[in-house]
Amino acid sequence: MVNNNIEHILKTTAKPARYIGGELNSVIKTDCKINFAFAFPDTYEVGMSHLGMKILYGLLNSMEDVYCQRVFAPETDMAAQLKRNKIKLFSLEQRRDLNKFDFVGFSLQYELCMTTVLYMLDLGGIPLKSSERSESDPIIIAGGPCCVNPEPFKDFFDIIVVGEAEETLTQLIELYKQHPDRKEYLNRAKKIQGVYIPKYYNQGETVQRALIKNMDTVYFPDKVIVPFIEPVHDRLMLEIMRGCPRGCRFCQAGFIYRPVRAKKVNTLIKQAEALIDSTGYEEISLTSLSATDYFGLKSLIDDIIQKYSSQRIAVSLPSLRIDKSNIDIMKQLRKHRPGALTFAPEAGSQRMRDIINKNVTEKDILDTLAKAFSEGFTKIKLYFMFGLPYETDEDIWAIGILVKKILDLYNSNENKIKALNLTVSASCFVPKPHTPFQFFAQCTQEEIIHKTQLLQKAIPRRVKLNYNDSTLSALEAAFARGDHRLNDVILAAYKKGCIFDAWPEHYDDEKWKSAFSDCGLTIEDFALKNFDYEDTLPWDFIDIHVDKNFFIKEAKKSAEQKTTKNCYESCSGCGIQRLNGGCVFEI
Amino acid sequence: MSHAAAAAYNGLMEDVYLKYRICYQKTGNLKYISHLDMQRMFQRALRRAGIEIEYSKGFNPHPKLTYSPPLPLFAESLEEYIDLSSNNDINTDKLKKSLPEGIAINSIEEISESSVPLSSLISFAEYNISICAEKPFELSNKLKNIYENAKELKITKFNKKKIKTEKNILPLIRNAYFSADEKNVFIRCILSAKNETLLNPFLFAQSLFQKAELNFQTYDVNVLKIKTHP
Ligand code: SF4
Repeated sequence: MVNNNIEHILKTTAKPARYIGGELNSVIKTDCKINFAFAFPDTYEVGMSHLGMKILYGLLNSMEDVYCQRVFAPETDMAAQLKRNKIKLFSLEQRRDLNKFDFVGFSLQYELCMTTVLYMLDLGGIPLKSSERSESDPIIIAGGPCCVNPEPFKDFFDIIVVGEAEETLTQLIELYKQHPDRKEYLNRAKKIQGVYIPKYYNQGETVQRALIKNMDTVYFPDKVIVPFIEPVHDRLMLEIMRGCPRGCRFCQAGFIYRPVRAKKVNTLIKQAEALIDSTGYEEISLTSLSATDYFGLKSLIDDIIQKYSSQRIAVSLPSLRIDKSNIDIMKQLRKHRPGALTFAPEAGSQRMRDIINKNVTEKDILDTLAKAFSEGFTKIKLYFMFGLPYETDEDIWAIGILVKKILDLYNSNENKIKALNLTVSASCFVPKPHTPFQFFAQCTQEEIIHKTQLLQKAIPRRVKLNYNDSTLSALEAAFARGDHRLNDVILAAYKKGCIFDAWPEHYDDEKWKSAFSDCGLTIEDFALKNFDYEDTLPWDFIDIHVDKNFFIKEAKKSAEQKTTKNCYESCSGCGIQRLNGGCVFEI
Repeated sequence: MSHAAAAAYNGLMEDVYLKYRICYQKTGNLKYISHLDMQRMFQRALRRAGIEIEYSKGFNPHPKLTYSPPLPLFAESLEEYIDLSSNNDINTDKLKKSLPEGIAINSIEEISESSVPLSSLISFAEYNISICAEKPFELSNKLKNIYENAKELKITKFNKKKIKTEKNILPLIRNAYFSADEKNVFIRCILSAKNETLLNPFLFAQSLFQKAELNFQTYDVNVLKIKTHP
């Protein structure tokens, strides 16, 4: 069962360090009753960058009779070797075959990971569909943000966890200790908040999203694994706050993590110290959907920087809200590491920013950048979206006009030391479930091509422009708002050889198109679908605690270009208030 | 009073750095970890152990650490070195605990500012190359003959411009002895280990196989660096 016979394979595989485990702080245990594989349907480097995995790995291993081990998707060269040598996909910690676990929990972070899930199940010797599994197979769990619309992939999982998993997972494990019999277990598990059991679901039932009430008492690891090879994000991540108070209408995270729940500064200081001391990392990132909305940000940063200045620990923030006061924070962080400033105006025209409820004016943008330039920042990244509801060609032009104004602003700045390094990234809008824009179709491939061509003309040549593959975002849109018919499509695509679909070098448009047509469907059936407000949506049975009526109200306001205040300023009654009798924030 | 504290006490108010030379082993699964990844790992291990190392000055300071010449991927070693400057004493126990399985500390010594740098200290390295083979005695004799009669031993390399170049590595080999048991061929050899003329033991073995017209890739080869020579 424990497989040690892979030495010769590793020497002929690219980046063998991905498959050996043994990193500092990886957990070694023996003889645990319950073995849980935490599976990430992407490469080691991507999976090891993910905070949720670190939290749940630590949490499960903090339970005495549970051993949580990691499994990542092997690259195709490794997979070929495994197959040739009849070796099953195995965990890093113990090299235990995937099908020898009690549970395999997949973290679904983005829509296009489903064929990779099937690839891992297949390599692990586990039947792909829940209906094909028997008592001796592991129980396959899905978690992560994609689970707010689980219908497209429900056939492949025995349990789907909707929402924040810390408490739900603990409950699932405790229940398993008492009721290991598969059928009885799954029937009982149904009653746990956040748990959806597709097999035993009855029409009309709702599944309530699980959420953590108190961020100060919820489990957070005091140490995390330090990989030998460089993961995509090679730094500590300290979650300072969950949820975002802003309510941008396209942003799923802004709704499915409501309400804002911040940790106390003291809690964070303790967590930061434990993490830094146990890992030796040189950088700690304070993560949150909107870190600069955290009330204690300044004192937290001051404290960490002061305490660790002799050890040269850098503090970083994922992105900045457009507000000139945030430049002071970045100035302080820069002392240790010069870096780029990242902002997301999202849209070029005020009209469009009002439609998406960005609540940022052009003056805010230019003031913020003027301040950044006067402080000597020369590397700026700007994020925009195109293909948004109600968008016209003028709105795309407006992105170019805004960028030109920013260039002019820089050129008029007397302190400039060197040329401005400005990057503009534009991504195609993908309508997501549980947002006010869930009712809207994505724009067509022709429109996307037209809009990107327009963008290329609108953005001055000396600015670097990045945008993503339009066919990929159509598929993403199809899965985001898809329904149960997509299960067969996923299976068909996998059988045709699709894996790692989010990686442009692996993505195969032709195979996907034929997988859809084999099932009598097209990508457009889903991506271009306009829902009426009265329609029953495939994800209506998932209650994230934000009301559908609130989304309808917000969608209607966007048509009138009316904005909604953020939660700090005033509550707009999204529905969450019923959970805790109203939101209270420290700001 | 510790050395560092004493130095600080003796009137120098600025940070006083003392030089240390750490000798360590790299074995087991760490053979899959590249030299570059090892460097990052060591910086973090030193920080975990509370050792504050000296950084270069300038806009983008980096830690001043000197490593012995890079060990090739898939090779294990009993003798690797790091030189570092620190302004506090090194707590050996704490450092040992901060290192992952596969790294063992042989020794830590304080060295003077004027002591011989690693680059001059190490000119050659001694390796044991073991090759799993079906007829080890036969293969061993074959390789031995090739080695002993070779006028030159060529390896092909691609330079920075991706142009194929050939290089004779014979002058980089001090000696090589061949033996075998029921399962393996062993080559005990001393190869150049100077940074500029570092000879990768895998490449040495490969060049012999090439001359013997055998496909090196199909053999399971293990390399252990036993010690270094001046
Ligand atoms: S209930 Fe009000 S304050 Fe709370 S998340 Fe919803 S809109 Fe924001």
